[in-house]
Amino acid sequence: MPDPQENSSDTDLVRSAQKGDMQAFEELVARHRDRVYARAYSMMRNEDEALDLSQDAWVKGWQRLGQFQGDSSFATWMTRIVINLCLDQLRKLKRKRAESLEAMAEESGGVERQMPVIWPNPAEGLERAELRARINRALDQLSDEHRTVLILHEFEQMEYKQIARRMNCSTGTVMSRLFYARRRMAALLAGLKRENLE
Amino acid sequence: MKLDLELKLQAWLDAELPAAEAEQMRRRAATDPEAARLLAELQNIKTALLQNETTVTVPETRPFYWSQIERRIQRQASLRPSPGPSWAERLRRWLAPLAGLAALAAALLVALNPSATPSLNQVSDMAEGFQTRTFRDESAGINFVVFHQVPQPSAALAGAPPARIRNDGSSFMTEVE
Repeated sequence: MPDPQENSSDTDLVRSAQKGDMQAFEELVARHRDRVYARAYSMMRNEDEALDLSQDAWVKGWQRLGQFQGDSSFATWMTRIVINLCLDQLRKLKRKRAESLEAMAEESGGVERQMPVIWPNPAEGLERAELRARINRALDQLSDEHRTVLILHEFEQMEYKQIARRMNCSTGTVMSRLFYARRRMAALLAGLKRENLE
Repeated sequence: MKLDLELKLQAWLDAELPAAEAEQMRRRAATDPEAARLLAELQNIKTALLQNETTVTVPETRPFYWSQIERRIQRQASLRPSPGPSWAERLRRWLAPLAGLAALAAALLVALNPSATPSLNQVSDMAEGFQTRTFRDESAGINFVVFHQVPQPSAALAGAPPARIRNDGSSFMTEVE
């Protein structure tokens, strides 16, 4: 027997869930769980952490459902929640991690500024699946700060100011991190492409 | 090229510059080959990322994933401190002893001076051998019963201990052991 909630809109499901209907909330989870998990995974680069944080995000979503006014889509609202949880977790991890000289150099962009401009376009001539896999591998190699700023800007379409607020840093820091992250991505993609050709 | 200029070129690419500065960057990119190359590199990466986010899916089934969330929701709900007493409850807690004291004072007054007219409404007068008066304070919702031992030349009662006052929280009464 088909679930009657399968045909309901997100708005109707949210309204029911706000009244305490757990089944409606479960349907919302089922619809958007991949998106929320994918964002957690893209930021944490770890399946277990992504699962844990995405589930925490749904718990928070349930608890704060009363605050959801519908200014953005429900999926966007949930994605913002998981992003905040990931940022908190990355901050905790950073506090624990001893900062190496290499990490400090990367943060300041010392290496990236010395790199020649990558030309031609390293993404050119690659199959879509192959390019995606390469981008994914390159993202793995970025520092947490650089990867996060790229994700928030390119995938979440956030403005500099919004990113600065979320990452608890200045707009200038966001601009420099984004710049170094892009330059490093270009170098990584070009390097990966060369590897493939040899 | 200076970092400041590089960041401005990038901000132009991201449509984050005010109109006047955006025009400056547009001219710069048109006349400076180094700036144009850097801009192209940044644009290539921006486009590649925008169109190629890797798709990842939850590596668990729908029921299993949900069951874990549901359990966490229930656990969180059980960990939440229960809400404190309402203001009405707190007020009642404050007023109950005060009302009790007032009732006790009234009872003592009546007991010590039975001829005095109580200011409360008497709702019953019963019992033989004892004079019993029940009073009700409507505003406090309290009944209290006052027992008076009627003087009798009975041997059993001659040696009876004095009356004792009992307070059960909502009513006050004197009783004879």
